[in-house]
Amino acid sequence: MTCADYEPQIADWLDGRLDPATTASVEQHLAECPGCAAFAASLRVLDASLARRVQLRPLTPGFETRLRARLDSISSADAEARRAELKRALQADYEATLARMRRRVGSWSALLDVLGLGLLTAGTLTAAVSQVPKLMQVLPPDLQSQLGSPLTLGAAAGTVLVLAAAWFYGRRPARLHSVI
Amino acid sequence: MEEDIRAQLAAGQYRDAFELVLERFKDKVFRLSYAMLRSETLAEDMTQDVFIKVWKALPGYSGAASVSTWLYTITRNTCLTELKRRQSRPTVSLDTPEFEAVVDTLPAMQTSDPEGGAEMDVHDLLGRLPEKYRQVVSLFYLEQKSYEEVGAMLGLPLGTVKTFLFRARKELIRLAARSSKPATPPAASSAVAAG
Repeated sequence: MTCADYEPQIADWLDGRLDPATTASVEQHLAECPGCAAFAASLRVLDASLARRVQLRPLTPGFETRLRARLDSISSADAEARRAELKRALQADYEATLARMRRRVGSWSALLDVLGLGLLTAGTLTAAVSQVPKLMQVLPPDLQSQLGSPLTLGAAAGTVLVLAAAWFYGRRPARLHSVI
Repeated sequence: MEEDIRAQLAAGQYRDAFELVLERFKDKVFRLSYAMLRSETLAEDMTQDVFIKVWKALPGYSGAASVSTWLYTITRNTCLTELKRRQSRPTVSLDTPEFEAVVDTLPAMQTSDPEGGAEMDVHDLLGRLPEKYRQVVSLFYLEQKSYEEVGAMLGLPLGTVKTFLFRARKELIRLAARSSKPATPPAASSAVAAG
């Protein structure tokens, strides 16, 4: 082994980290080699100097008080943020529920409108159709046989149109609502 | 050693877990911060910041790494961020406590303790070491010469700690010999003569 190989071992020897066999080997080399002995002496001086100089004061007495004050302020801020978040969530939930209710009420309202309109139209058509025989009586017999069928057909078509309008109105309540 | 902290975390008792972490690691976090920042005042501020981060992050601690490793990683990252921030603003006020402390130590760096035997002015020499060596040396002596603790705190393997420490010591001896040559005999020579 060369002196360069011994140097790390000398440092370990100084730190008391060598096994007995290596310790004996290093100590024998130190006894025979003035250069390594000088290096070991320098390490000792350095070690003592560092141990004396590399020191650190303890944390100041107010360290934990300051830390806990900061933690309390953070906890308060967090609680405030959680409250604000909860408020936002409740507000959003309320508005969503309100919108759903408006849509449902709008649908029912539209349906009632359609039913009313349907009843009105049906009543008008019924009244009109009920007057058809009286009208027919004043017409010539050949014309009566020609018109009887179209009038009945017209009444049926009117009823279908009202039902189709009701279906379409139910599908698009808001749009038709605004139109109506 | 960390089982009680882990048990509190598993039970969701974060306040109790935090108290254990604070009590057990506050001094080590302070020493690691000091080794990286070289200012006691700044190191104490960083220790505060580290524990604020720990308080916020504790509920999300996964347990994959040991609590000490996790804590030292937070400390290193916090100090590195502070160092980068300060490098981007390199102005130093003459009124800062750090400046006054440096002025106070100047006479001590020029003399040796007459009752303490041979001594090197290591305070000044430490400042000339590369950062990685200086951190290892500082922590080695602050942590009662524990290679393992230094490795854990700096996130370095044991072999790297030993290598850095050995190179740092050799460099300090070389710097001491060079700085003392013109006026006084080398410290090594005087030590050899004394021994």
